[in-house]
Amino acid sequence: MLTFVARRLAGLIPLLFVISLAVFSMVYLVPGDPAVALAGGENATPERVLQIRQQLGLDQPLISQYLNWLADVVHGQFGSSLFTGRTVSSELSTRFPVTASLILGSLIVALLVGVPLGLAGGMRPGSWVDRGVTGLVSIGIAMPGFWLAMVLILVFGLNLRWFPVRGYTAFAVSPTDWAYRLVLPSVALGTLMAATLARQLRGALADVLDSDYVRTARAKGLPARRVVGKHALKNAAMPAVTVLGLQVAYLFGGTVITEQIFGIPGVGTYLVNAIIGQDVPVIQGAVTVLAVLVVLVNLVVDLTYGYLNPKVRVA
Amino acid sequence: MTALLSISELRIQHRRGGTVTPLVDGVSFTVAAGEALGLVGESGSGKTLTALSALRLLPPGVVQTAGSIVFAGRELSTLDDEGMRRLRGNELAMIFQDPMTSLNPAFTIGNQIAEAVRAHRPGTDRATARNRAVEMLDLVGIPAARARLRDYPHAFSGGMRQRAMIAMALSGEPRLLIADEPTTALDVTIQAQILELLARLQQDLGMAMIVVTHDLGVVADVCHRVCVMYAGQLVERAPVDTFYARPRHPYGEGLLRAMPQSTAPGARLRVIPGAVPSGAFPPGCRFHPRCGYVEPACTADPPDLVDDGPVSVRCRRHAELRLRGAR
Repeated sequence: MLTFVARRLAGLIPLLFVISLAVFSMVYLVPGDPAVALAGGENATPERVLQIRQQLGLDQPLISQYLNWLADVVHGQFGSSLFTGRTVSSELSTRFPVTASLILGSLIVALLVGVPLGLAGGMRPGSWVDRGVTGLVSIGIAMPGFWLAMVLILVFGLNLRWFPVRGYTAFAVSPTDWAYRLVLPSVALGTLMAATLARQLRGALADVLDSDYVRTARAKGLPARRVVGKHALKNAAMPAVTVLGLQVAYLFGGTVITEQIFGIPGVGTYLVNAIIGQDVPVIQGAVTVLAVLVVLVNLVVDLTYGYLNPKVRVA
Repeated sequence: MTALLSISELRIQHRRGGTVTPLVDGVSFTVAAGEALGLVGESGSGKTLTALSALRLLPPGVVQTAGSIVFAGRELSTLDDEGMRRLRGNELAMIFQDPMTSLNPAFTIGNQIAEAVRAHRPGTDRATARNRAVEMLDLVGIPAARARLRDYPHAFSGGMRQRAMIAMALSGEPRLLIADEPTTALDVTIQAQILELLARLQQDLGMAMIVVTHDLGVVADVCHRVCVMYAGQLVERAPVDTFYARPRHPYGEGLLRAMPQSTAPGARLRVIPGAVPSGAFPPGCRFHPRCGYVEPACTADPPDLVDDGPVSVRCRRHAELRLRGAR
């Protein structure tokens, strides 16, 4: 298992290199010249544009631009916003925990709802419980997140007044308020994840329970809870972990709408605003951090595979 | 000899929605302590389901609807789940057709055998269970058994996995071992080894054994008596030597003559024309559409299983026909 972990970690190096290249080349892939834009658009004097170029190092050879940029990135420096002048790293360090909290909340919702539903359905495929689960899952997958968010706000925020409608409190400020304010956004964001997780787990468990080795476990005289809890679950967890990993990775960049609706100052909002404004250092910084996070999530998923399926460790 | 396992008038059906399909239809046989019985027939004859029903491991939707299964004096078809669990893997063990899929890929061989030991001896500590697992792997001829405990099934070949399955099944010192097509999924060279192992263990341990197979060569090597099943019914039940010398049922003859060993080198292999009916059975004798000795009367009345000396046979012409056995 240790060599497996080491191999997977070593495999990240080329991947991170490719990511850095892709992010760096964004400067040149974005339409328009950022120096011109900064200097005040088409009316800018050539001297001013040149000055900005020198300031940003855009006049140097490409390779040294890349190496300088990479050196900064490794030290956590992504430069400053072209518009607000604030450093990207300080902005990300306040916004990232916000998005991470939201993802953590929705992950908890997904696990608390998705796992029991998936187990209940998969244990007895074709039963009325299973049909109920399948129905709920279809609704959960079909429901648009923004619509659900608004319904939640309307019902639990405005009518029942159980939860606050907008805003975010940092964990450091008040843990209870932090959790309290995250409930509605987490439900809005976690419902789709819960439904997908339940569907995968249900299918995998039904398949596994039908397998020869589960029959062997029964033939050994193991009690039912051990047959399911040990022999079936470890094998059925694989597809569920895959889906969960994909969803979490997606959420790191996909929380924008939920953040906007609930007024949460996270990474998603920051990134979208930067894209609209062609704020290249911000885009580069945010995308780098998100890409690295996605890579790390995939690593965790990979390592989980290794634990669940010993065959993977050899491959 | 008193019977260790006695199955009588067993009926098994598949139920889905409103449709009911009979799968096993009034099968009766007994197995004495220490005896090896072969249960043979083509795919779809109901032999595997008959075997599975003894452990109450029928697949979902398939249910035993009638008949009794008495094992060591206990009626199994009405036994509660906990009582059944205590029997399985303990006094009554089973090994399956495909060793490649019958072991759990996520746990080590040692874990899976030790688990079987601990399931029936609560309070056994891990070390004792592991030692027992080593003992069992030794018994089934896996070299360097202690080192292989930590291996996962994917590190074992098919033959070794079947040996591990046998080790697991025998860890509870069963009085009856049911082997469902134990060699079908293995290479021919490995088949003989596994059969030899099963036959030796059966004698050394003095346990009874039911071998479910479509391979009559297996039956000849390992079994004392044979039950031939066709379309959910028992059509012939006989001592192995008697059956091979002179089968009484045309289906038994067909099976024997279809063995590659009973064909001269270079000659075409013989087959039984047609296939086992599924769903609706033909009227009269269920074998009559494929039978070479069919008479008009065969298509009308279903024949009963009748005794003829040591043999029981379900054919109205069994007395007059002189059928050919294996060479």
